[in-house]
Amino acid sequence: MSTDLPEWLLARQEPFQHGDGIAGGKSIRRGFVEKSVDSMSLVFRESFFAERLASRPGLLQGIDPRVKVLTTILLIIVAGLARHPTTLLALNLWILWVAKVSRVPLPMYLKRVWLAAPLFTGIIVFPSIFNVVYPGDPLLILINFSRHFRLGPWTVPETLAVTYQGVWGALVLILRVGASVSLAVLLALTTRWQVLLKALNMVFVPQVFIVMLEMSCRYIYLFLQTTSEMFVARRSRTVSRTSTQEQRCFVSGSIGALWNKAYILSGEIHAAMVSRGYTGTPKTLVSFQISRLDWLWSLFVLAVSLFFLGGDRIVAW
Amino acid sequence: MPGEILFELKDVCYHYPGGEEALSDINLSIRQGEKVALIGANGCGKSTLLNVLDGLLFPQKGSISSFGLILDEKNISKKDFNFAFRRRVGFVFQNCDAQLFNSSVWEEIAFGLVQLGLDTREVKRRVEDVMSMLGIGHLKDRPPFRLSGGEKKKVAIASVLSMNPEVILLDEPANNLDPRTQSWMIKLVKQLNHAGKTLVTTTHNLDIIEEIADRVVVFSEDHRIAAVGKPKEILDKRELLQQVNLVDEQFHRHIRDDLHRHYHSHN
Ligand SMILES: Nc1ncnc2c1ncn2[C@@H]1O[C@H](COP(=O)(O)OP(=O)(O)OP(=O)(O)O)[C@@H](O)[C@H]1O
Ligand SMILES: [Mg+2]
Repeated sequence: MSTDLPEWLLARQEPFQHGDGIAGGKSIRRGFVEKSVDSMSLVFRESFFAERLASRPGLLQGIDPRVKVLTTILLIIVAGLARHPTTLLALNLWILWVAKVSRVPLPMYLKRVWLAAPLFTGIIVFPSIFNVVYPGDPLLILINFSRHFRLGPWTVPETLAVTYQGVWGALVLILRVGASVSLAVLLALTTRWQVLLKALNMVFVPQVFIVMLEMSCRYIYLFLQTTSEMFVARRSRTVSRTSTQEQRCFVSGSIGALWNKAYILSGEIHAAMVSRGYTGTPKTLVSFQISRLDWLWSLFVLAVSLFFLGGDRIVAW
Repeated sequence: MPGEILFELKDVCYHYPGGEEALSDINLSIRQGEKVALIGANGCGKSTLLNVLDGLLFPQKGSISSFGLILDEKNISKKDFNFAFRRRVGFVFQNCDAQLFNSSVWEEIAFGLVQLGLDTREVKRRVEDVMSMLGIGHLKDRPPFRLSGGEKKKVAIASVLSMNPEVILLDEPANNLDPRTQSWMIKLVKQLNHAGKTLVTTTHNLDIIEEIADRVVVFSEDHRIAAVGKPKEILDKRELLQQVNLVDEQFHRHIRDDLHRHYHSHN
């Protein structure tokens, strides 16, 4: 090792001139790929490690995660059994109220649930509202063919119409999915990720699965972090703007390095686990602590469930 | 003061799969109650040796025994021996990212205790104690991999201390620590040793080895043991330290007074 600096390292850069300033030249923008990696890691962090919401003082935050998991399952079953849109609408409103008293910001919550759920369910149930797919009483006649005709094995009715039963069914399904999704989102938003995993384990999900989930979550986080760090490291050494093409090359080239890192890291992690007595069957701490609030909440949810199911019977017949 | 032999290595050679030799002909014994420091240039095999001592890597040649039993893959896979060994030997890894694999600091510190099958009350008590001792109580719900380098190191140390091991292997424990925490670390090593623990520490910081060791093992760059001796003797052998590429010619030793010695290099 020597510290004799080569000649080029001894040369000084020309002094900073005004021309080098902000006014001149195109600005170096971060490319598409880099931005995607960054926002991926941001989304991941936000959705899995968001502890802000889970630590706010609210109704659901104060309830034992296992109780929360069980009551959520119960309510999802209620949503599945309800057959009348009115019941489901009321259930949805009730869930919204629960979200509100749990201090979940409603605009964000509504966007999360009601943007995706109706869209995807809607696509699935859309064909079933037409009498061609599912016969029923016409609600709105779109085209009148004025006679039957056959199309291969199909008999096409004389009118193309939206049916009463079809719309009814679609509405019920969308409201059902909406209620179930909002319950699940609410559970996830008000519970810390690692606690939620533990709770799932207590309820029915096997331990091995939980451990795997936990580890993969950690790895993904580490990966995204490493990748964005590699980008930052590269940016600090990049003088001019890079094209998307170049960024893609960089990513595909560094994936190899990333894999190697991952492989070595997983070996080291395993060694660290073995060193602290891990023998292959994961053990975790079990500590039950059900408070009065948990009992109250369970009773409340039970009452609400009976109320909705009973109400459903009454309005349906 | 040192008691019975805890580890005995005879002609140990280790090479990583597909790699060159990382340890060559290591003969070493470590006794109960000793403080041993491993020093040597980067890549000389210090971390590898600690892995061998912890029963994580097994030498291709030579033999190692611990607590009077042969430490090999066959024996360590036996449940009773594994349990007894893991409870007695703790290892703080050089790479904290590898060591911290749980989803919260609290769980991280509890992990070893849970594996050993301690009951919940005892686990809680120990975790709380260790956290307050290291001043990391406020981090308890945070995921360890999102902490600063020094905080990670503290959690890693806590996760090993909570198991109350008899032998503690520390791979560069002072790395990443701020000066105050570093001197706290040195004090901790001394106190643990006072309490009868055996400590094996690797370090690059020659300033601290007199405090953390009563025996120093010097590795040469060809992965062999170049010398073993008392810290003072080793530090006085400048040619030896130069020969193993640990220091350069400018390195010298200031003696400001009898109590405070200080090593560094000048240009
Ligand atoms: N996982 C591995 N696979 C292959 N070779 C490795 C691996 N880990 C270490 N080595 C090699 O083994 C040798 C000894 O490495 P080791 O990590 O023990 O060094 P060290 O003394 O701890 O160094 P440092 O002071 O930098 O931590 C080095 O030459 C290194 O390149
Ligand atoms: Mg090392």
